[in-house]
Amino acid sequence: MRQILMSKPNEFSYHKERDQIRSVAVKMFAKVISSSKEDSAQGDSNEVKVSSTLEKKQD
Amino acid sequence: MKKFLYFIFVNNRVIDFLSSPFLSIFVPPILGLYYGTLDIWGNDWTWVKNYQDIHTVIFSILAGMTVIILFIKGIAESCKGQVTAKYEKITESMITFFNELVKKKRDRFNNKAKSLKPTGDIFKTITHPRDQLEHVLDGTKRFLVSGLGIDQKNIGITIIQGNLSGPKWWYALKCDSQKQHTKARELMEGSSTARFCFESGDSLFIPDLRKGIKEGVFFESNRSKKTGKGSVFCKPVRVTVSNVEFVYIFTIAVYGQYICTPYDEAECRACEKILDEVADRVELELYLFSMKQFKESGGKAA
Repeated sequence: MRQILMSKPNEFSYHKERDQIRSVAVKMFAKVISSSKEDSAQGDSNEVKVSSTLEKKQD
Repeated sequence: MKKFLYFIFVNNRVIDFLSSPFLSIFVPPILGLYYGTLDIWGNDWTWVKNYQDIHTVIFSILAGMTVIILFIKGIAESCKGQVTAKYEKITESMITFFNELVKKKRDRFNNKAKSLKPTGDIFKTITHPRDQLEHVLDGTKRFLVSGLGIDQKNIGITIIQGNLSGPKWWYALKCDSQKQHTKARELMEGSSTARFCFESGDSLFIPDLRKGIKEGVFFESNRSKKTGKGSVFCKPVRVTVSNVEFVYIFTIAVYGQYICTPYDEAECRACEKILDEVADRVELELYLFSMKQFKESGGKAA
């Protein structure tokens, strides 16, 4: 599985961090990757979990 | 203002409809024909002459629509033009990255094939996974710089390797060997992203390092403390050759800037997808790297 650890809205302050052009372009590109992998992804982990906390293994 | 313009004019279905070729092709000519009809035959035709109020309203609506459609189309095209240019840049950078990997391998195979002997160790001669891995890491860095606009001095790419019987951890490869890195052992014994990935077996993308620190899955180094912001992507790779296990943790860290907008989930997902694609190439080379180590060590772990 693949995981993304996202911050909650307003958890941290940001100052002009968004590059709108890059943001849209990156999403477009990722969409192309996703569609190209749909047929050949057997066995690959395509599950992505987005959360604001992580379950850590206990020592 | 820029944010507002992109929110309104890019990826907006209403704007997409208003700036569609269908409307911009049909509405202005209809307005022209309508104006011509009213102007030329306005005094002759009774259906025009007797309903002037209605024609005024219809003409005003058509004129207003034309202005709005052309205005919106102009701005939307301008915004989309910049996005398309960036999209092409990212695509070009990724294709260049992949092509260079293939070219490097093809050139080596081509050169070595000429001098192969039937009794020689062909596998050893043609496979140079360490060189290839160094090339992949350099290529990853070039992709991040040219495709995603990351400053190259902010990028740290490493592959940590481990021997689980110790356990012992060391850097198998570093993109910038002259830079001071936190010791691999320290990372793997502390609350680090690499350790989390090794223990969970999952890859992890943290768009904002502050979140990683807060959740106890990012090890604060002098560099990260100094820059205060950044992103990290980590992928564990376990390769079993015969009965010997080789363990690696591939990491891309960016300090001083974010790989993507940390609070935009869709963008974070997209970025993670791209980084995972890069990591797949690294994983492939690590398989060869492990097999070569297995052979050279006589079937022992690294």
